[in-house]
Amino acid sequence: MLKRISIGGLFVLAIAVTTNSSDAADDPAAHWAYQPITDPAIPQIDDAKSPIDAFVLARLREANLTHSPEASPHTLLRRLHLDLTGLLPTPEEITDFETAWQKDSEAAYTAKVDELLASPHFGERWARHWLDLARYADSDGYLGDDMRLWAWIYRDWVIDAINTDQPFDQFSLEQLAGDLLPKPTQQQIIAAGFHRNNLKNTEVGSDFELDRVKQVVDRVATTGNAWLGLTVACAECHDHKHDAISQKEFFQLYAFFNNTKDSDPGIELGPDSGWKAPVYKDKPDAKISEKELAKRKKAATPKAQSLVELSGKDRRQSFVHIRGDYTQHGDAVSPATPAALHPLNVAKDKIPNRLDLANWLFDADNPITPRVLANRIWQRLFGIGIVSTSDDFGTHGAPPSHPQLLDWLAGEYRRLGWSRKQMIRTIVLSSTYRQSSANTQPDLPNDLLWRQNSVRVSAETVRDIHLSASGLLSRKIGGPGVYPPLPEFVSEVGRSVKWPESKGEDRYRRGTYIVLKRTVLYPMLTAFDAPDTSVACSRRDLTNTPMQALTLLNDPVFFECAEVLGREIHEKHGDDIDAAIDDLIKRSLNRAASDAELTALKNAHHDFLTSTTSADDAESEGGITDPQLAMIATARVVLNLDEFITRD
Amino acid sequence: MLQTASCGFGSLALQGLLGRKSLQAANPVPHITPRARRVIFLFMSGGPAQLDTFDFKPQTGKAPHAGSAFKFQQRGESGLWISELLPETAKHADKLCVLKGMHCDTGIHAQSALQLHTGDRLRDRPSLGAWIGYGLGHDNRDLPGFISLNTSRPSSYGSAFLPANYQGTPIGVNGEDMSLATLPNVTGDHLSTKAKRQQLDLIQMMNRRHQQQRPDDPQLDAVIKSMELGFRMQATAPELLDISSEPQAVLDRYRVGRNHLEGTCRASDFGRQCLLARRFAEAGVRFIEVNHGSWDQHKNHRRDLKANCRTTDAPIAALLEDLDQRGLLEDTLVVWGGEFGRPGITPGEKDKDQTGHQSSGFTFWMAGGGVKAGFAYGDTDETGKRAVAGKIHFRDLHATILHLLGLPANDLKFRHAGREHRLTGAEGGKVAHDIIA
Repeated sequence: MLKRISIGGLFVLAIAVTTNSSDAADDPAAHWAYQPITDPAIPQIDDAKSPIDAFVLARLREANLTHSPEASPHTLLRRLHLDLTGLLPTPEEITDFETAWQKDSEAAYTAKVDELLASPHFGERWARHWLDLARYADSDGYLGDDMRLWAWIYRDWVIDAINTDQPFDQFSLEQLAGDLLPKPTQQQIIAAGFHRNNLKNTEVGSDFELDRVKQVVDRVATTGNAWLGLTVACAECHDHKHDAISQKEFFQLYAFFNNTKDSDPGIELGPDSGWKAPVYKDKPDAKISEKELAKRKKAATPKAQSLVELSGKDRRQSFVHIRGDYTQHGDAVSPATPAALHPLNVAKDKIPNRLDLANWLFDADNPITPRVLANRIWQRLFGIGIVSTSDDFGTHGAPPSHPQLLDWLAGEYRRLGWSRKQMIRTIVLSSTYRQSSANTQPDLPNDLLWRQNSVRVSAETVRDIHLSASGLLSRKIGGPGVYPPLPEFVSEVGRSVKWPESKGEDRYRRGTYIVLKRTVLYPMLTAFDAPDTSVACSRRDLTNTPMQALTLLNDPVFFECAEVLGREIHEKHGDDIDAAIDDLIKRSLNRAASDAELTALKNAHHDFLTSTTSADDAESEGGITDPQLAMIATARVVLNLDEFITRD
Repeated sequence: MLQTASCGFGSLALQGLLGRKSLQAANPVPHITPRARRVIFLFMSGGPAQLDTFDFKPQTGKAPHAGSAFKFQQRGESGLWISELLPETAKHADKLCVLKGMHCDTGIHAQSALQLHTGDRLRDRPSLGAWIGYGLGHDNRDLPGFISLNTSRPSSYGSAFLPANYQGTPIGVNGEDMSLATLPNVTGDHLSTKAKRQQLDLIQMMNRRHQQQRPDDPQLDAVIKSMELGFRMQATAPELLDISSEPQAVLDRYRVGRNHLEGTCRASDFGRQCLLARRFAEAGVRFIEVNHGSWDQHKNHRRDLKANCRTTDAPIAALLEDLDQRGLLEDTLVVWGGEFGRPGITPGEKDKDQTGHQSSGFTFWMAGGGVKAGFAYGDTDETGKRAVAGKIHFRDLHATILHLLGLPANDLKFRHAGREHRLTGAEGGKVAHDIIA
């Protein structure tokens, strides 16, 4: 049995047991997540379309339940768009899909899935999920919070790797150890910037060695969360009894990451790297000297923030830190993986490095990583994972709702060569995914998946679909982060930079491209539960606050979207209010308006027409004619509907 | 999980303390009788000089030492020593509970201010007001539970990993003209109130129709509730912020619009802030922060300190008077203090008129909300250099405030990133029971 660490101040790796299994509590090796992945027999269910459906239906039948009916084609189209690209279908795409659906619904659905998986917006959407885990931000954090001018190059690498469907094992290898590969490419150097995204304290007078140690601890923690579904916790506040990897084993993992330095000021990227300098303009100012010009050119050359492995006498010996205090050295340790997991195979005389660790994660005997990865994809497509605590497969974690399905998915991911797109395709083609989300039995929990889940869309998507519905959206992909207008109430933007408000198209870029300055996170994103970027985030909380309602109601960006949408609809349809409202609903909710909605919105439009003719209102809108104003007010109603920001 | 997260108005912490599953035998919530229902925190940014305000350190006749540069007098029946710079506040001496043994960890402004607000010096953590909201829930349906006036860093009113609805709502930012300050997004000038109400009614009606597909969906229910609160805030908040209905005599007592701009003393319309604080307290806002800075008078110590005192003295007195008269002081805890204090001017360097930062000993005061009135607690040494008696660290201050609100200070926890967090940090805070009436 592994030793439990209970001394305050120690770092422990909590891997271990489900709370409901007393056997496992005595023997961590018995914990479900460490059992080899089984190859479960697919239950024989006549009407199961796929193995996924067979596993789900088998469980449902045991409980005398069955699947909900398939969602309507419009719901399915909107669901696929939101889940795969995070954007809304256009009215033309809706019409085309309707036509194709009538001809052959199955073929239409499959073709749409393939089309969206091939869309460059797929990479934007799924990169955002990964960036949460990478605790990606564009600044250092802490009080200084200096900008990281080139952080976006890593962000763009992620988008690109996902769009080209880089197999997940390679995707992982390059991020954990790209710099250690033989003759690494520039792309691999950039990828290794994964572990440069952590917080960094550059404050004068701070203890830099302490901060370096904290960064290494964070790198271990993030690796644990992202690939092992493990929680690395500082035991100082921990009064929970749980089994753990020993303190020594924690510092053996620490040792993998303890011999790097930051590539500052960054590794210059060659002209053929494809990265364009965002700030430097080749327009020499007469007053600038040649030397100054060269300096500026160099400063403007794109650089990869990456890691450099130390060599020779620079290498550090790692120690156990007694009580978590880095100045108190305990036993000397070398890189090694926890004994509770599968063995790390390296040549006897070789000290394993990060590359070996990355390869170890994708070892055929690894029971946990494939489960963690498959579960996380499932979570993105159902709102909740088969293991609902996707960042904790250990002591405090929830047991899987469908253990056999989880194992099948884990095995399938590997069989598909770690193709993220193929894995997603497999899931979204299932009947389980395509079910209606209507909660027809409110008292019945959905653990067994008798329906899809309704989920409020993520913070970035709230923004993106407003821009998408209004037609303001810029579809430009990648490049330096943008600075959409900050609400007036945010004035403190740290000491290091101002907030240079973006102009033109950049004001309408997707939420993913908004500069993430750690001390001044964009308030709209924070209001809708975007993570704080300080630690790896595997699942976002979903809150609901009056500030969200106020943001939707009055935020200038959202009002501008309603204004543009209302005006366009008015110009297009004039006095044909039926057609106008139908169009409005189609562009935002991506379906036809029901009779009841048509009546309600027509009445409302009529009321707005009368109530907005008062002089002060007309004046406040400056030149907008009343029918336009009424349509804007109507558009505002629709964009404020809960259904608009819900993925059903 | 989703159910817990979407519980808009209730107390999440209570659920947390009771355990996620109602079937589990819960940790019993320690029963603490609340003495205060709300907090007004008067944050004196920059580090007020305690030796020239509340911690009287005259020369003792031995070797000359740093000490008070201004005159002090005993005030009220309690005989508390208060500086000549605060004549109006001094009239309320018998309401004050002066804490002279305050100390903290660092003399770096931003770090210490962050620690005072969140318990952590370096990282963004939930602020005191957010923890209180999380612990007690919001009981006002027309206003947010936590408002920060003339605020500076978002981290000082942030909710960090706590659910976003416990985040403070900032009104006005440091340095701006507070008479123009309003709530973010609370006013859309786009439509008349009637049209907005029509819009909202329609939105809510259509939301309910959507809900029919998902009956009893707690999430949608909460959405409908928070939209309603958001809407009502559009009506209540601007009204509360509009102080034009206050009698001139009240505006005069609070010195609304009057600043004494000298040196480090910045315009903050502190009088308006204090008046707004009273109005928010009356309206049932749980945690209100009022800000004035900067007390960081390094050079020209005397001149700038005078200006800071003149700007804040009468408004604070007016606030205490009004709270008392309206019966609010009983359950409103007023807390005054900065991120640290200052050492005295060293004799012999008197001409320099300079002070620095001091985290080893400084003064806070409290009033109302269940603390002893006309009471001085703790002390610094003879030269005012360090706290020697009745020591209260920021984490003890936090524990005491939570305790007065009826919250179990060291058991108010939230699980995040694999471990449990609490305001009082790893070490925990000690409740200063000696100051509780």
